[in-house]
Amino acid sequence: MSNPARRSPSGPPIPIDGLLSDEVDNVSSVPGSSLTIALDALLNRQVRYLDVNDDPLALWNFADTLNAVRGPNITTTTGEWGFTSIYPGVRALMVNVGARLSAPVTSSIILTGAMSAEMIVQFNSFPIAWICGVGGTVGSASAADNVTWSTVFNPAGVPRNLTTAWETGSGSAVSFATSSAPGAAALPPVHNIMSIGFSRASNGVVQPYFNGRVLGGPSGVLTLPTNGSNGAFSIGGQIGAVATQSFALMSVALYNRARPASEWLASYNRSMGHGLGFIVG
Amino acid sequence: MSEFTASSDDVTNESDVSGASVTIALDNLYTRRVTYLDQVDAPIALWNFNDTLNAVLGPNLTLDTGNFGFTDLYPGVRGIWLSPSTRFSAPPTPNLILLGAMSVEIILMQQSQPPHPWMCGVGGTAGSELAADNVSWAIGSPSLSGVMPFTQRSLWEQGAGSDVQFVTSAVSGSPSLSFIHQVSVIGYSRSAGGVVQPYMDGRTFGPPSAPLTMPTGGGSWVFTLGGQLGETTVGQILYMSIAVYDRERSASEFRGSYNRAVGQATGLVVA
Repeated sequence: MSNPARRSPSGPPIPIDGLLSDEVDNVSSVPGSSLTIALDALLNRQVRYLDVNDDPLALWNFADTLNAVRGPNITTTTGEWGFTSIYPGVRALMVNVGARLSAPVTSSIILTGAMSAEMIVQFNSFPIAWICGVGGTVGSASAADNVTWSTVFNPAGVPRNLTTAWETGSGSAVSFATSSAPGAAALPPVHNIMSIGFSRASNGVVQPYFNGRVLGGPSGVLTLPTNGSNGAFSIGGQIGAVATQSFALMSVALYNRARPASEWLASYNRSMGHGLGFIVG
Repeated sequence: MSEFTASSDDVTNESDVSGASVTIALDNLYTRRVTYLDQVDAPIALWNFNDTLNAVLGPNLTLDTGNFGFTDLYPGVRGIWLSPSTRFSAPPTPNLILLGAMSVEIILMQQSQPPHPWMCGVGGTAGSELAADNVSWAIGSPSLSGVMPFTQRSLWEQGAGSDVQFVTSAVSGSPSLSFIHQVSVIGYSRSAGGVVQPYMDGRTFGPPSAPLTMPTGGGSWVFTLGGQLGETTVGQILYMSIAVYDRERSASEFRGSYNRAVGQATGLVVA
């Protein structure tokens, strides 16, 4: 090996032979101040749970636990569920047909205005009538049982779309589904890990997201939910209902504001992109 | 004054990435991918189904019945795909007849949901109550179709065909095998005292068993894949690697093995 010398502008040549990676500044886009730290960061790339970087008001990361990072713990369960790998080495909540998991009624997550919900999920079958959301008893015509937000996945056809739904008045449904017209942006087949969610603005406009990018265009202006004071966070089905198909849920993050596209992109890159490759805006 | 130049060859690598120099470390990162199980922990048998039925260590396999092919479990990494009603076997091999401490590790992908009652193991003819046909060890997933969590079973026999088994919990909230179409690493260790600890993806798969009666008997023992002698696969499953050990492997060895095989590509699992 040749032994080139490091030469400062004014100082004498410094032998480089045997220089340690700890001593070399990293100026790449890989995180880490030194080459050693940057190399370790690359070695440790893997799919990660959603984080608190954008200050969610509730966050559930199902790493062998039903306890929340923020917000209410999941305390009530029915049907078959477990913890499995949603991606090699990364545990998630497994929800079978007939299962529902829910948290106690929590006023802070009954969101009737601007909000966002992001989740990392893997479908085992289609369609999923209710992935998660906040509402009272299903089928009730009582305003107190109104759904204030939910993410559902209805059709089994192609393109596969994503639906956001809530209720206003006394159980009047309001929903927005991404397009199922030929050529529309769509969700992938089963057994793919994916990040999905939506932002709802204070004027009722919904923008769905998929893997850090918009999933089709936004909705028109929709009537916002009202009441919903009996709302409980539930997975698999609204209170009184259960999962119609099976899926695995790794993370759910809930915000009381409409997140911009840049936050969705960055959140994806910090969680899934960290293992699968970054996407750019 | 000549302009300063240096290369990554000149810098000693101090990170956790393998390689003496930064050049070698970068090369190792560049080639990260899912790889087959290895011989670091000295298995007594190892099959890596890289377009072959021949073993790396131990006996080669031959098709008894059914159909199979070789395909990628992960882009660029081949495994063997067993269709329903398939079984492979190896010639009788004394050192695979493990009556004491042992371990088995498998990289697989399910093409259909459990049950997969017998993935692989060593035994005689299924259903026989003769001590000579006792199973000395086997691994499978006996879950009822569609019932979750999906369980893993360690099975053997003692006396005259008396089953001894440890099945991971099917109670809601327990660890589960993954959904189909995903690369998974499963296995278990059996101690000399008959305690079984299942593993999945480099971590424990629920708590260990209590001490269990060890296997006895034998004489007709054959290693089979897909079903015990007289049986065949129930659903469809793909195997990439199978490693068998004549000792109880530790949790750190299962984790290290996972990280060398799958974790290199999909992310390391830490203790």
